[in-house]
Amino acid sequence: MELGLGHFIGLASLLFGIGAVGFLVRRNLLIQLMSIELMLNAVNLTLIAINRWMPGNHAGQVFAFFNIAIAAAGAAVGLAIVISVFRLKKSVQSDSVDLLKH
Amino acid sequence: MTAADMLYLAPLLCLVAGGLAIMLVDAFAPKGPNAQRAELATLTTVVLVAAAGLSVALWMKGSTRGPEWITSYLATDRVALFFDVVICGGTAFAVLLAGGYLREHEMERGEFYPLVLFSAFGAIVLARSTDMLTVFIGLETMSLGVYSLVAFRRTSPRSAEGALKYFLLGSFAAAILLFGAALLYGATGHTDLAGIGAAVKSGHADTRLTVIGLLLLLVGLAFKVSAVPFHQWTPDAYEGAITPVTAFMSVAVKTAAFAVLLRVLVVAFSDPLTASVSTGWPAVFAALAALTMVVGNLAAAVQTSVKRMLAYSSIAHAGYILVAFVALPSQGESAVTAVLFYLAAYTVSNALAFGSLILIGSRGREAVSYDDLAGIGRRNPLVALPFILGMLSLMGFPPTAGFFAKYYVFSVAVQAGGGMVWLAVLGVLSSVIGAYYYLRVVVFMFMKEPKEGQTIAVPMKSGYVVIALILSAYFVLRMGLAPGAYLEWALEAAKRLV
Amino acid sequence: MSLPVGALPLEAAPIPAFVALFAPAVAALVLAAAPALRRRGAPASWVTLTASLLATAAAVTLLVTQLREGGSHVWMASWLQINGAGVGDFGVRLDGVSATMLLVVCVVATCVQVFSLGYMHDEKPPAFGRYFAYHALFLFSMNLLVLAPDLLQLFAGWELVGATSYLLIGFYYQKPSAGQAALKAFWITKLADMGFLMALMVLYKTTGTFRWDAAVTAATATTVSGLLFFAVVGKSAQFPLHIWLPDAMEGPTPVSALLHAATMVAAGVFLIVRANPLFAHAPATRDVMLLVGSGTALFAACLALVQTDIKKVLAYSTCSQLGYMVAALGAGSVFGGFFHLATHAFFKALLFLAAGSVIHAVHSNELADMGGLRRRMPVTATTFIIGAMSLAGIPGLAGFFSKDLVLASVEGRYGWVPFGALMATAFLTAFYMGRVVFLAFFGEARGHAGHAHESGGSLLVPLLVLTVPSVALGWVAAPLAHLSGATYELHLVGVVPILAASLGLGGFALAWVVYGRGTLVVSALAPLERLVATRAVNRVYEVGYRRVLLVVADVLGWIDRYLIDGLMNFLGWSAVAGGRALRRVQTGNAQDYVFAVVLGAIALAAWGLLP
Repeated sequence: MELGLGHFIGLASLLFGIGAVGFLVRRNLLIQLMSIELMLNAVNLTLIAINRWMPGNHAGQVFAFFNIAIAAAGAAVGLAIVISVFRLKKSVQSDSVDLLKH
Repeated sequence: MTAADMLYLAPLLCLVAGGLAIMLVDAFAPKGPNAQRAELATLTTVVLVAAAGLSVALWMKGSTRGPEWITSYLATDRVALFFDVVICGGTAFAVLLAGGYLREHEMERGEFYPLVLFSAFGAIVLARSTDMLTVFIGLETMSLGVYSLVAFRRTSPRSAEGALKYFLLGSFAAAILLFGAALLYGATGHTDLAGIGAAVKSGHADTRLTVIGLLLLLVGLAFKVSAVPFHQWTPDAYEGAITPVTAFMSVAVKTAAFAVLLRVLVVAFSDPLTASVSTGWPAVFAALAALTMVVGNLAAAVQTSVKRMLAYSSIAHAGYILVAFVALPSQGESAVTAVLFYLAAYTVSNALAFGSLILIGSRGREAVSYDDLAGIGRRNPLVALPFILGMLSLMGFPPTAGFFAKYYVFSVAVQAGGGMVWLAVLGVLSSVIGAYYYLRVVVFMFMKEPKEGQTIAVPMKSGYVVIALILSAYFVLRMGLAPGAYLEWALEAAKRLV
Repeated sequence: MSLPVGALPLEAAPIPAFVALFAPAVAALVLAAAPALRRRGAPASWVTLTASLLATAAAVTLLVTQLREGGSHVWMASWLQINGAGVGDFGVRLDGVSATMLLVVCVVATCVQVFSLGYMHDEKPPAFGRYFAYHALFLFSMNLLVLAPDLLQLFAGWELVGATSYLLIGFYYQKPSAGQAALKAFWITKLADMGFLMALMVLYKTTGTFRWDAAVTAATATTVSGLLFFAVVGKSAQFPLHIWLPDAMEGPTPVSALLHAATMVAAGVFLIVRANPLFAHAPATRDVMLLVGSGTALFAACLALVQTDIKKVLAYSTCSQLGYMVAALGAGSVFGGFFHLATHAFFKALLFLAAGSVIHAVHSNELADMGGLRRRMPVTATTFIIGAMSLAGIPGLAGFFSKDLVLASVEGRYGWVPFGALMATAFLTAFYMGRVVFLAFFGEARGHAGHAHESGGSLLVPLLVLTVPSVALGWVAAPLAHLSGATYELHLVGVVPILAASLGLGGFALAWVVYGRGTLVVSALAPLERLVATRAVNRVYEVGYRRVLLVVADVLGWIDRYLIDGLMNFLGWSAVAGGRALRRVQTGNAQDYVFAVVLGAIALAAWGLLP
């Protein structure tokens, strides 16, 4: 069986979906952060796979590098916020914070 | 790539250099309780005004056609310059408010100002972006700064909670946006907006993939402009953040998000297929706009916290702006003009409203709920006056900036005719609800007495806040009494985009 | 600078026009900018009063000029330009209609302000000053509206008078009911104003201007005039948006006289008179106006019958009379509607101020607390009775002429239904005014009424001044008609005037039978008294009044209170309920928010992928 672009996009969509579902069903903030990383990596996979089948330029690969860099920065800020929540609440469950509502 | 080319990026470079310089100033400034504190707010305002001034200078220079290596990532046209000025102006208001607020509430820490400047830089990159790559970079640069700013009050659980929710939802939406961008790249082979637009127009693009990509992209951007049903983070983040940050989010961040939405739709998706009024994105926007106006106004009407009411009101205003987007394919430049003018008017009106809310409270006596406002109008009429003006402008009362903004937005929908008139009618009707809750502020300030034993809000004293209020009040009235010049500028900018 | 065709530059406008417009504006600005002056009370009232007198003098000058020279003139300065094309203008339009209206507004406003000097005397100085600052703002807004050369400026004035009305209804903000009434009035008129806004958009879309005399197609005229009429229904308290007006009586009585009887509520009628070129091309809108106007007239008159609060009677009467004006305009008689506006402004302001004088003396709004005041307050009683007779259309008084004109204009339309309704209203009007007159001024004193004293000079002078036009304005109908470009012929002998006059007299007579009997009897009337006491008359009274009229009024009152008001309350309630439901969606849990995002995304994707 020859691997085609469709397979890569299918796999990436699956990964993206797993990430999204993980984000939705898990209450642990750290797991939710990981789920977001999974979603971003699904995007990177899509970009690189598409670039492989469109060799005219390197836009997809460059894009993926930027994503990785920005995801790292995002994770840093995210972890800082999680730590700040943990300090105040002694919990990393996302449903432990619901002071702000209605 | 020559030094002269860099001139086109001068406003951006000014912000970055200013941000770095202020970090250094803060690092070397004397610390300690009795030390002479550095007036970082003044410095930051100077940097922002300089950046806006550079944009104005570029506008006056005539030719706004930058070199290709810049324009393929960042626009240098007049729409970009218009948004530079609005974003820098909105940020400057927020910084002035922070200058008073942080000192009063004893949380003046130096990192605030560089964070704001870097965020504003991200907002301008976002507003100028002509490539999916810069859309994402701008979006994240802006958002990461804002997440940190929301969490700025480190001892407050509300602040942390607001930041957490904003961060979680924001990252999720960014991932969706990114996936949409990747799919568009797959469908068209381009990441630049013009290339995507050309591919879609020529019919070479995979239609199915294009539609999904576009919709995912729209979800990500609708999240940033807080359109219903992607809005739920807004009230929580706005309430959790300290008020100057709320002001920053509601003006600069929102303006940048609308700017990029405008550019993406006009440059990449103005072909007859995707921009078809009945089956293309305008129909999606009609539904989003209707939902956003109704939900935003209804939810704002039942709030007990003024800050939260203003958060929902910002959602309602996003709905009004989305009405103009629906008219984009048929009305072209007049729809763009309406959006530009609305964002400028909304920026000054909101700066006035949030500034007044800040001025009314002081340390330990902050004004948050309607009850806190009881009787303030009679104890301190001068403090209540700007608040009334801000409310009138947000309500859309002539002759304030808000009236013309609303008028133009709805009238482009009427001019689009056909199936869009109902949207204008709905907008007009739902804005009547606005009259109710904005007026409640006035009712509480002038027609209620504080309840027995209730702590009353005591106005603070700050030159920064007063300056911000005077300036924003001036613009609210100026754009209401003589909006001609501003409309001309908006139109001038819009002509180049369409 | 490109000005509309036929417009002269604003600098060339006559100086009195600027005085009429800006003297009150300056007064309002001075009082706003100098809190020290305002808080001292009395000086603030002099500032406002000076401005009003200047404006009145200017209005007189303008009217005299207009009488001498005629014609219509527009002076404008381009205010809003887009792409070199003028969009909105600021300016002054002087013609017969605006000159007359300006004088009416200025005279009534000045009288009301003088009256307020005495009436509001017991207020604390800061409140007193605030009151007069609002009055200056109101006069400016109203003059801005009256002199507007196009609909955009008229709209600015329209919104400003609405805001001033809000401030003045809520003047006694210590009373929760006053705050609520103010909010209700603002909200309902704001809802209606959206019709105005939409009308502006449609007009601009199709003609590129905001001028009411722009060339329009029949379809545009119908749409624009229909939307404008919606705004009028709110502002001029027509059925079913009339419900705010009775509540607005929470404001001080002089305010009710000026805003909610004489001028602001009449702004809606004025708008129709102004925008007549549009309405003239819209027969469908005018038919609706005829029906709504005559329906409101009858409906509100029935409700006025059973009110026990003297101000509420007058408030419903105002609704009813505004219905007359709207009906006349719907029937195509522009001058009829406008003339009734002018006479009504004077006699209704007179009635309200006289009622204010009574309230000032007996400290109650309730008719039950009055009685026999004719002997204790002769001047107030006389002026009130003259105003009531003018309103009831007693021949020779101002109201007779204008009402006659209105009735003549609707003659024969729609199988005489509007005519019949307005005729019945004429009878009911005389009856309920007679009821108030007999209950308040005749019979035995009740409650505090026994200790009432005639009011002081500053209350009585305005009453006397307003009595003059309430009596005599009818006799100058011809020159006024000439000013507005219409013709007027006095015809006292005819079916309509005789019928109207006898209905008016009959209404008073019935009121005397019901409420005045036994107290008004003088020997000369004794035979009449015996006639009235016969069983036949008693029977007619019993069946006609107790069984029919009062029952109808009660049913209508129920509809008004529970259906119309209830519907509005329901709308407000459902908005709040919707908001509450939305609050429950906002759970505070971040994951629930993500669910909303995902559901939204799925909905969009499904919509995009389905063919």
